[in-house]
Amino acid sequence: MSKMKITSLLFSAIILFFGSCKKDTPADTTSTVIFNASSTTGAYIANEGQFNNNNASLSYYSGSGNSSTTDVYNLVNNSTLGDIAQSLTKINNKLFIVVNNSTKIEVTDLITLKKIATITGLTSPRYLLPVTTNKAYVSDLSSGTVSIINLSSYSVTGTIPITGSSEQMVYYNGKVYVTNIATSYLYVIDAATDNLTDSILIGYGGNSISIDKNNKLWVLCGGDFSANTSTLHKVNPSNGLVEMSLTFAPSTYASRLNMNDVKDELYFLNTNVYKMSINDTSLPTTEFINANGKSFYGLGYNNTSNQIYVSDAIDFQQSGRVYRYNENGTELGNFGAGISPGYFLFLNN
Amino acid sequence: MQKPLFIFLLLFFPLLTQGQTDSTITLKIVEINSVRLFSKATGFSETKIDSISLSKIKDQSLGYLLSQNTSAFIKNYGPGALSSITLRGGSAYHTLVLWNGFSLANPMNGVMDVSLIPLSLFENISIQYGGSSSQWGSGAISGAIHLNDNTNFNQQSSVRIGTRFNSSSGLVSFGKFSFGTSKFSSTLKYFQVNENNNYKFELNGLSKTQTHANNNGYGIISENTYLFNATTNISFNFWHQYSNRQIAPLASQINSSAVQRDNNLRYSLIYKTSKKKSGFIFRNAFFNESIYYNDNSLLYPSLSLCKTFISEPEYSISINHFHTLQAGLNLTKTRAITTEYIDHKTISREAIFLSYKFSKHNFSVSPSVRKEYSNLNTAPLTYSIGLEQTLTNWLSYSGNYNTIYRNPQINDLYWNPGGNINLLPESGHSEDGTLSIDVIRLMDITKNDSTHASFEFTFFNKNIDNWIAWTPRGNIWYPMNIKSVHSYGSETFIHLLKTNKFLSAKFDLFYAYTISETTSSRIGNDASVNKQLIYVPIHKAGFNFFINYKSYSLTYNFTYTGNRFTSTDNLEFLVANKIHSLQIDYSFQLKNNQFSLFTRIDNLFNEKYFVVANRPQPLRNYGFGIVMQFNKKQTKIN
Repeated sequence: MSKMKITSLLFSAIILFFGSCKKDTPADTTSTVIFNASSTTGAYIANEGQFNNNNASLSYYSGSGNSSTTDVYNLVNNSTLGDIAQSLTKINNKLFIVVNNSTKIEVTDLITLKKIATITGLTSPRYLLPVTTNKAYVSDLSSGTVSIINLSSYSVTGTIPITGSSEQMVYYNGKVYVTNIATSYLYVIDAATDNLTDSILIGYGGNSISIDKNNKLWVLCGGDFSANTSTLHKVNPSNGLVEMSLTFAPSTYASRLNMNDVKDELYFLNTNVYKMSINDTSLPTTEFINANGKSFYGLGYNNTSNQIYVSDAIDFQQSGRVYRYNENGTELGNFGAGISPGYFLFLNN
Repeated sequence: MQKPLFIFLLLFFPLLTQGQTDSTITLKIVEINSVRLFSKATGFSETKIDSISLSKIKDQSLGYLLSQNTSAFIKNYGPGALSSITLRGGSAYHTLVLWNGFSLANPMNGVMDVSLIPLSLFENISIQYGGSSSQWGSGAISGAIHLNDNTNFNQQSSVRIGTRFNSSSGLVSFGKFSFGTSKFSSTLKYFQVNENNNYKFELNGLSKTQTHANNNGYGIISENTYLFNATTNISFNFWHQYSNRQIAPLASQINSSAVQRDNNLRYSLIYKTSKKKSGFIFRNAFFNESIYYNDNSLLYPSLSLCKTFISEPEYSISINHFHTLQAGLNLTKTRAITTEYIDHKTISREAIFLSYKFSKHNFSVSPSVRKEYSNLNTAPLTYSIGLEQTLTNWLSYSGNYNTIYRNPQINDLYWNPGGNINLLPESGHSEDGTLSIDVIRLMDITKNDSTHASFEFTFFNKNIDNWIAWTPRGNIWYPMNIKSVHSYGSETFIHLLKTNKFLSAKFDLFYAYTISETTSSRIGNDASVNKQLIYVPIHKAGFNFFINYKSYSLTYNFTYTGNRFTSTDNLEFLVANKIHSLQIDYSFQLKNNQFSLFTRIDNLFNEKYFVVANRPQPLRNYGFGIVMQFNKKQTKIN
């Protein structure tokens, strides 16, 4: 075989190889979207996005069907939301979107999502809780404080020192109860004076908190995957006593404690979804909803439809999915969301 | 040394050739070429960075060099910031950077930050493509970058100093002091960087200036070799490097408070001896490394401390002209502690490796095997076979098959919270085949030795199981063996070289086509299956053009990096970028000393681009510099 023949064969093979090249752009998913939020059935989903990628987003779900509108904040305001959309709070027809790694809170109209203000001056904000008509607290992962927000001027007016990483909060009877994922205490703030007044020893790593119909606090602690295991605590806020503590199996991480509409059942994540009555004295041994390989990440209870929404973040680097279940744990449908969907806000809750 | 490189050295680098005119070699040094460190692995494709390319960018880092001259994708977070290597669709943990055969990757996090490797400290850099775990152990999955010393006995005593100022970054200074006798060679090299990196970039139509991006640091490397006789020598090398960097804010952030300080002390002691048919090399190293990181989002600063001791005896013997055997041991002990471990962690690994090579006429074949033992006892047996043959005077081929692996890093195992002691090593196999064509000989125009043209085409394939990734469980991140990945593609290189008595010119072109897909996942409903991995460009291409006329030279570089997906379902991506740079050098000689002035324009056409999401790169920027070499005239000593 001559040199030229060999060369021609080689180059033909190479050209054939490159002829089958793969595209390096995504399939075109562009479509016209219509966004009309319903104040009765609608829900917003905060999609955290990827850490440091500035691709947090907000999805809107109408309450029925198997589709949602993605990136609605961007759609309305023509700007990205930021980095790590952590939580959502509605106050007086306004939506407060805590964007953790962008160290800000975006304030929008609850229905139109039109941007109203941006609250800055925060370090690593996590959750926002209104405590009076004009005042809210914002927990923080790393500042060692809870920030005080003026809801009229949308500004930080002060801080309340709290050791560690403050997380979810609830308001009850003039006091704010603050969980902390880096200590073993539940902290108590007097909402009138903004002073830390007490700390209640519970388990390590409090991450979520709810109040039941008997006005008892339920606090879920994730532990640290090591010496401290996950625990669930029932606290009487009137006297600060821990009435019950339940311990999970080692090397598990329990999170996202939610109550049903009548506040007599608890739902939480521990790989799977678990459900227990407020009257139970032990942890459930069988799951309510099996994850079946899904990466359950966010959980919410829709008081209007009595449905449990659970998000699957998959690998936390791709668009997630939200599954809806009824109170028997039967799947009713699912819809797509953004990257790392983690928090639900039901407009009618 | 490859022939093209030899030609480059002779024709293009007057500093070297002129500097050696008064030197006289008194001893014929016998180099130990049969051990792994000094011999090209049979069947592997390798790129040696030619001295011209290297000498022009002494003020830059290894990341800059690899980005402009190779098919590797350098995931760079901005000037002076973290840069990691992605080669052949692998992760940042899959390419080893070896200093005299010792891996520089931090054993705790596994990352090799090539922005912290200043080119002014090295003169011998090569890239070995493909998996080579049976040679270099854990992490040699996609390739290995070799940084080796040059020893020059009887070298002329000289001092070389240089400095460069860049409009967008700042000041870099570097120098080299060389001394040699017939028995002793000593070189001291240093560099210092003082960059504020307050460069301009554009975001959403607004012009912005980068803040909090200071990069200050220094490095010193001392290479000393004593020659007992023509066949035996001992080398002691010392490398200290300190870096104090501010981590710039994301494009989406108003400001940043993050700082990182890297402090590395590295020592190596290498004894080499050879006889007519055998060679022995005993390499030892001690690394003492620390990384300090802090920002406002942390409750307390993170401090990671790590000490590593490596000892590696290796023996080779040529049974006759056709058969060579190599055998060696590797003993590595690492002790690490960080604020995120419960206590000190010590990992000891011992490995034994054996290699055989058969060479006859134009054909070589070499099988190798390596087994690692440790107190974790998880590394698989690895083996490989490589072969190469010159078929005609213009056509040759090479190929290899390897089993490959990467141990979990110490952070993967012991980070608290989240560390997973049950992690398995990533493991799999890789194959590649290369065809090389000497175009000049093919076209029968071999009359002119000053013209060189070659074409090289490589196809590669790689499968990895138990890929390790960190994912959250609630608020806690933990690592898992999460998926399997299949990578395949091709690399094409074209080299052209033309010289005559007036002009020298060279043109190097490369193109890499890389598919790297998740084939299976342990996560349910994972849309990443059959999708391209994030930050692996399917297309990367570029060329370097160099022309020299009398005292002037011009270097033009073009690099195209294709779209990179940033979400694993391939719905989000960063758009491709085309970056041009131009450099003009003017060199002149005064008495026995050489001077070179240069100016460089990076990002010539003002491309607005991101290499990493949310981390803007600088617009067009300008550099100016001078390199001076003062030579002491040497008398003959033979």
